[in-house]
Amino acid sequence: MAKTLSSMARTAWLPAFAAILAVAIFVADTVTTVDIEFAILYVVVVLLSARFLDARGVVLVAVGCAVLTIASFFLSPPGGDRTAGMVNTAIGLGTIALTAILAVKDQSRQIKLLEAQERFRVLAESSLTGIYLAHGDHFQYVNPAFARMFGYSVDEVVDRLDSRDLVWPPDRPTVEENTRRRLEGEVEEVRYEFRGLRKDGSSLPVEVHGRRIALAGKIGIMGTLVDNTERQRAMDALRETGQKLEHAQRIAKVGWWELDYRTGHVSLSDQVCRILGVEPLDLPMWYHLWRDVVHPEDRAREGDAFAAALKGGPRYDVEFRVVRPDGNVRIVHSQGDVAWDESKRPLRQFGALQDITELRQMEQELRASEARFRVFVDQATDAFFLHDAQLVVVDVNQQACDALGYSREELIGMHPREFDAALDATSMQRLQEQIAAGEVATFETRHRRKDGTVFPVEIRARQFEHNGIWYVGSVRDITDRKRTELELEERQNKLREIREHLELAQRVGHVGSAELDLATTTWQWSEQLYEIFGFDPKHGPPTDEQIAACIHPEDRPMLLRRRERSQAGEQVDPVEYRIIRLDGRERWLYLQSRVVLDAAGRGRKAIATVHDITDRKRAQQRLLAHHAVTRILGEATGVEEATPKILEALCEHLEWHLSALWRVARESGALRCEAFWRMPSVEAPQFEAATRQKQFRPGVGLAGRVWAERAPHWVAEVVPDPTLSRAPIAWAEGIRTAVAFPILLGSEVLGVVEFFSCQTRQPDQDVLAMMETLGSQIGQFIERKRAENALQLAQAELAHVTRVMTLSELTASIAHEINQPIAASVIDAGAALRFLTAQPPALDEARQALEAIVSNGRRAGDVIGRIRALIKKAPPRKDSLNINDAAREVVELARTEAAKNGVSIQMQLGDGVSPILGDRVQLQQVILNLVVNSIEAMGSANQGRRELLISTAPDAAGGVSVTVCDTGPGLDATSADRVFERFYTTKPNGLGMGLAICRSIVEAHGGRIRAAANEPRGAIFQFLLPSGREAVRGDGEGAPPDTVSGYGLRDP
Amino acid sequence: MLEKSLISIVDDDQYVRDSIRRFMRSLGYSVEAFARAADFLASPRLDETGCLIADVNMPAMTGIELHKRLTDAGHAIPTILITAYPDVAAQAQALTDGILCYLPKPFDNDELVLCVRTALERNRPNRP
Repeated sequence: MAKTLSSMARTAWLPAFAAILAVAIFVADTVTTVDIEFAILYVVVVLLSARFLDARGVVLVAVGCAVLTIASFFLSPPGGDRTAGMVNTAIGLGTIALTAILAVKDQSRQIKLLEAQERFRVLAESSLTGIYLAHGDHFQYVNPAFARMFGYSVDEVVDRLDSRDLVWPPDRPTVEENTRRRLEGEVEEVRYEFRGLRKDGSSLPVEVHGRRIALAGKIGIMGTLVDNTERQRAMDALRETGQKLEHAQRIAKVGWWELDYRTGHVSLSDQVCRILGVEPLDLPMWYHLWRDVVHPEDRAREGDAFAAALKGGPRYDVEFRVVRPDGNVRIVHSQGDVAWDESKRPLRQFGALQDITELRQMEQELRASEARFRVFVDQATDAFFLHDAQLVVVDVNQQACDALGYSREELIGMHPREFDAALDATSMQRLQEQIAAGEVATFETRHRRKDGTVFPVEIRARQFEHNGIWYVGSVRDITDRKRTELELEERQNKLREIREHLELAQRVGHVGSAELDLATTTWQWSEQLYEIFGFDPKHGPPTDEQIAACIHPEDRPMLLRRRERSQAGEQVDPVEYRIIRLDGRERWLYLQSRVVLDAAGRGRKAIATVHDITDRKRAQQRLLAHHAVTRILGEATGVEEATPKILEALCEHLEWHLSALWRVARESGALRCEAFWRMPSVEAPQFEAATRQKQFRPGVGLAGRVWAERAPHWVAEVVPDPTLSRAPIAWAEGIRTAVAFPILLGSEVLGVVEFFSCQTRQPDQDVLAMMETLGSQIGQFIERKRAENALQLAQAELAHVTRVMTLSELTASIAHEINQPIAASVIDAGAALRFLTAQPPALDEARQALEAIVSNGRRAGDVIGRIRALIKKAPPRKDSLNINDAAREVVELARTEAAKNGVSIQMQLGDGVSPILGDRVQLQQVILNLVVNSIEAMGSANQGRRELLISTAPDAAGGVSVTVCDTGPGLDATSADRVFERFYTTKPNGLGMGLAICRSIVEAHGGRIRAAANEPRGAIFQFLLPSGREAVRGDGEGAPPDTVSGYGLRDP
Repeated sequence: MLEKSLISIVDDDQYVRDSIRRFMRSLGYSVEAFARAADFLASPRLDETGCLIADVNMPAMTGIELHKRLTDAGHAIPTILITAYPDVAAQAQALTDGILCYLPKPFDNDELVLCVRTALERNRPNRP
């Protein structure tokens, strides 16, 4: 108000003018007596003051004026009509008062108007709503909000812009149409929306509410305009929210329903309609239709719940099935709350209805799934234990019950220590900590069944969190596995044993094995093979080249050919070959291989076993060498003949390249080389020359050393030691190893044998031992040759003694047999004499004694017969034999005896003598007997040459004849007849049995024997034997011996 | 006590056995003959025997062994051994062992008679 007034008092001169006027009036009034006119002038002052003062000021001014009027009355000079003056003053005062009242009243009315104007202006200016006033095409007024909405200032709009410029071109027809309708009075006011056009060209949604107005006689339109952007947005949001809600309802299958009990009106949301499968309905009393929708079986239950809720019972919250009109059955969950009025009557019920068909199906499936899971868990082969944080069993599966023999109920609540037989509290604690650290612990322990038996288990346990800490363990009965493990371990042990045995066998048997890839020629070697070849297993299998380098040069081509044949897919025979190891040792190997073929039939790989046969080979060589030497010694007639042969044989068999024989020359007391031998392939001329020239004294040089030590010596590495006479030469000519052994006779050294090799050879104890044996053998040979004559003599003596011994044995036997009857006869004869000389003579007794003598005599004869029969009856062996061979052997036996008696033996063994069947030993006895008889007969005679001829010849009947002729004393005619009778002898110590036995033997063979005189002297003994085809006669009763006429017989 | 005048002969050879028995009878002695030593040892007339004539070489028990058995059993019977295998060493040993006579076959009848008489004589001083 003050502001309003101050603005009203902008004319500052008015108060001054009013004051001057008031003073002028006062002066005039006071000095004049014309009362009325002046007092009325105060009205002007009051009215003026009303222009710049408020009501109170105006009243004060009026009071002031009244005071001045009264003052003028009293100040005016006395005169006049006092009464008139008083009346004038009263009228003046009344006028001033009236004027003041009117002025104040007017002033308050004007202020109110101004206030209203101001209010309107503020309202319009500060309004957020656009306000406009338009006449024709232009705006007469717009408020700032209006201008702001369109992005203009107020001044830019008013009277400047065409109203259409603010309309989005597409909406202009609408706006023009609405404007027209208002202007033409078709409608008083209109409310509509259109899109405005902002200064920046963008559009904005606006809602306009305008009406036609008549202002100052002109028809215009005034309206308000609201920016609809926010509302539009809010509307959109609301719409979206509604859609979302609708969507959510649809997704959640939840809808709402409302039942108005006063009207019986039922409202269903769209979703409920969809759930129930009904058209959206908004019907009074629809509730009765509801019952048709509910599944008949659930109808009563649902109805009861509904009724109960209405009676104030439990809240309506029920699940039931509905049957859609199309027959589809759904499960729904419906719940709602009843609103009551003051008198506890139900007003309405609002509720939600949810389709829980899927939920229930899911639950059902979940239950089924859980059941399946339970079955699955129960049927699991492992036992499952679920423990709580204190390890107490919370649940187990069937397998756990079966394994432990407890029921599930018994197991639940148990602690592992009650059925674990192996873990103590500490172990359990440790395991629990391990598991708590997030590990899956796998451990083995033993569980105890309810019946007390214990079995091994493997447990895998871990911890998990699900509303607390739990432990789950899967427990597996590993009894079988343990057993299997044990068996496996046993089997592995056995396998290892077998492998160890195999390795041992390979080691013991010196057998190695290898596999060769024939394409790449790469090897795989067994441990023993490294041993055999002398390679270090740490360096892996050697290359083919390294192996080839080891093979003895002489054996390389053979092995190469063998390899080529293997590569061609051919199975090749085992071979023996030599290797020279890196340490210089030579070894003999026996290689057996099997070729594995590839698809093309070529050799893919070869599996080979390599047997170190060095020892066997060496033993064989030694044996051969020994045998050769023995044979040489046996066949040689003298040392000179044997020596070079021995050296050669030993070199060849034992693979030495050079050798020398040294003999002790007794006259000089030194060793002299007697023989030198070298392999044709080896040249060592200087060494040979040096050896032949040298003489060694005991202890000097290799030979001298061996002589002195009387023992073999092996020099594995010949070194060019200049202090040794031959060593540098030997070394220069490629000799690497030397060995020597003494020829010993007892402790006497007869000589030394040396051997040399161009290869390095390590000492071989077996070879040394053999050499030692050979040394003494050769020594003995030399000694034997030296004493040969004496030995032959001794042998002859021995043979003779043996023969006599045999005869004396026979004699003793015969003597005893014959002694008995002779002794009996003598006694009986004595008895007979006694009986005869008795008085009287006992004739009967004497006769008996004499008869006994007769029978004893016969008995004695029988004894001789029995001896003959014994020889005859001994069944001869029936071997096929060559009589020439038999005769040769007999001559060998008799040679010593012949030599002793100065008899030369000739043999004429006939060709074409067929083999005969007979007893070789018996027939040889016959021949020997004849030969020895002849030798002895000639030995006893002094005259002439002593010749013995043995001849054999086939006879006409296919048999064979053997004849022994001598140049001895011969036989006379009488002797020739009796010579084969028993006990016939002409020798002083002869028994007379020899030729009788010969006859028995010959006759037992179905032959005949005869004797005749030789020409010009001597005897001929001849026996004939039938061919092998004839039966050998066993009775011995052959034809009596023919006597060859003209032959003189003599005592054999 | 019986007079020990019985002469017992042990020889596996029947001819020799019979001839000696006959010869002893021709001399007037009572004679018993046995083929085996065991038979003689089992004889009830063992104690009557004043002289034993035995062959040395018999299959089951030799004459030497028989004599030893008798000696060991306390029967000191004078014994004459006869043999077809005369052996000087065996003879010497036999005589050392208390054999009265050791006669190689064939022997002189008078020698045997002498031995028998000596044997029978030897029994006499022991008689009361």
